Amino acid sequence: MKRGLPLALLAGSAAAMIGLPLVPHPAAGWLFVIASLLVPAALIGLGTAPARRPRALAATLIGSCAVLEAGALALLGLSASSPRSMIWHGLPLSSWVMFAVLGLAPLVLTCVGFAWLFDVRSLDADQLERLRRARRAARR
Amino acid sequence: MTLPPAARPGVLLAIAGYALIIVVIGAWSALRTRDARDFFIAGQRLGLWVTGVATMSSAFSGFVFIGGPGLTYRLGMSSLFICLPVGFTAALLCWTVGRRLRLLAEVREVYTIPDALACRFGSPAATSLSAAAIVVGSIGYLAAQLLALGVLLEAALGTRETWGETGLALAIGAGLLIVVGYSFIGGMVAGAYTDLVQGLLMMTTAVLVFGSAVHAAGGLSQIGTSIAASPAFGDAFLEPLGRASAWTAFGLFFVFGVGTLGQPHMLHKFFMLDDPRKLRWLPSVLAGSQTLSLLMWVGLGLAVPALVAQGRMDPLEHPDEATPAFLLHFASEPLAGLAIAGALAAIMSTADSFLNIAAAALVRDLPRALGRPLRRELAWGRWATLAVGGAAGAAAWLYGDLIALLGTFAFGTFAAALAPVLAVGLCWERVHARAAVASIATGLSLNLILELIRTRTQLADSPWWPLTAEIPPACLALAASFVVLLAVSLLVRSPSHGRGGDQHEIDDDVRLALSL
Repeated sequence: MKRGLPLALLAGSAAAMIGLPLVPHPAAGWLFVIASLLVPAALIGLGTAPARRPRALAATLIGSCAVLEAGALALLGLSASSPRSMIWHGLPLSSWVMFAVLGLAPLVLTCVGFAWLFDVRSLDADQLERLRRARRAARR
Repeated sequence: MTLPPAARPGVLLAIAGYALIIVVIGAWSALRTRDARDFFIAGQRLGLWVTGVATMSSAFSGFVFIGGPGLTYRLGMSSLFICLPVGFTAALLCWTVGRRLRLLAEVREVYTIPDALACRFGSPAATSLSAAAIVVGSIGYLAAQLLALGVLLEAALGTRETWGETGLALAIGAGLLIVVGYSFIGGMVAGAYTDLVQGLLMMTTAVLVFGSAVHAAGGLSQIGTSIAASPAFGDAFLEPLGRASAWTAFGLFFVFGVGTLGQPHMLHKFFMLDDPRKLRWLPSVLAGSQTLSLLMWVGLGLAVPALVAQGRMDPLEHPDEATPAFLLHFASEPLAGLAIAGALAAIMSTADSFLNIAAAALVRDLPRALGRPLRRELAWGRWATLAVGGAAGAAAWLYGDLIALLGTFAFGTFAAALAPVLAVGLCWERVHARAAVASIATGLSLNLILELIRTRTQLADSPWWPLTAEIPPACLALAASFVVLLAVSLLVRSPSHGRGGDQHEIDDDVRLALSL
């Protein structure tokens, strides 16, 4: 994955988060939510570029981002409906969506994704020795 | 609020036992602290579990165990947007900055975040500005911990009954004495191992208190029914966006999610990991331990309002009383003792981390950035912990507001000042020293100005104020800090332009560490 896409996404999202509070339109709040959830995905993309397994990384990133965005939009939609209409085990459906989709699902996806994509080969004994040689060279 | 007399011996015993364990670890650690490397980064010899649990326990504090349930009492389910980001922050930390910081510590003598910025940017201005941000934010965060500590000890020991208004000051002083004591003697070796013990205690406590709280309030269905039927709380309390708008809720989600990348007390732990390859499982350990500890917030945050709604608990005069009120009146004596020790652990594990990093900023980062490194950093570091502890104790005593507000402001300060420069600056070579300085200055000053406008003036409520008052100040400051960093990196030339093309010059060993 190249750095251009995550940087553009980061710049656009951050700028939108500053500009949208100035816009007196109901849709501004929804767009603000979408922009705020794009930033973590952009940062992960930036942090992992250049990745050795770009397809796997893209799948993890898109999956995590889609779960967060879907959860947020579901929350916004459910909040607009009658709060007493859908209760399960004492809590509104929106609360369960919040716990499951904004909390637990990203936890599983990102932790498993990180361990799966962690390239041990890039930190094998040879690579660490390269680092130590670089340290010795820098000291000289 | 006081303990029932019969409960005192068990609770006091638990507190005394906890304090004894901490003092023993401090003394044992003192024997293992021989130089500044031991004092500041625990000799870089911590394993996966110690690093993961210590990172959790230094991140979760009195804010989570005392302030969290209090915030839920006031804001309902909307308050949970602060803790939900733990779903992705652990992996985000490791993906973006954790691995790079750890590898940087492999090639350079990096003990602190300003050290890392000095290696990356070679700019005294960026280093000293980040050190100043760390000192200011740490004193604020430490003050929030000491305030929570004072509230808890005042309730548990009943110092208000005996000493009146000065009871809180005495309770703060007692807690300060313990935490400064073991940090002064043992530095980060003591900090890391007490963090491990404290983290295990926090997780155990959180799980047990969650079960006890839900059981005491009649089960989850009964909790929901009681709260929804109560005029004081109502349906809106249980709705995620019931008592806060989307601007506030997702603004907090953003700050506490992305802002984690700028929290020095968490990032500092990456330097201590003995083998960088162990990073692979760090997000799982960190996120798992965080999720368990958050059960305390969720359990008490829902059970206490339900008990009030059922008429079994008096309405709280102050939201921060939610945790002690439940423990003192509904939990069994052994559980109350364990939980109070767990809450003390949450507070102290964060407090010792802040003492350590603030001391490092004062005696190591600032003097080095100003070209006057100190000869005896270890000795000066110990005295600096005393000075920082004293300043934070005074701030805690003089503050006089909600713990959660002080904690949120301090978290936001670190987030806005440091998250962009670390998250983007360590990953993208185009970021240069001028961009780093502009970003840190923007985040720090904007957060402070917007917070002052929101809390100390009526400007945010006036019709001509262009921003919605519902958006957290730290959210705007953090977003602005990102925009400034990217814009200055792209539009302003690096001072080293010409030597290295359009790239800022980075030493080869640092470049290698950041690119692996």
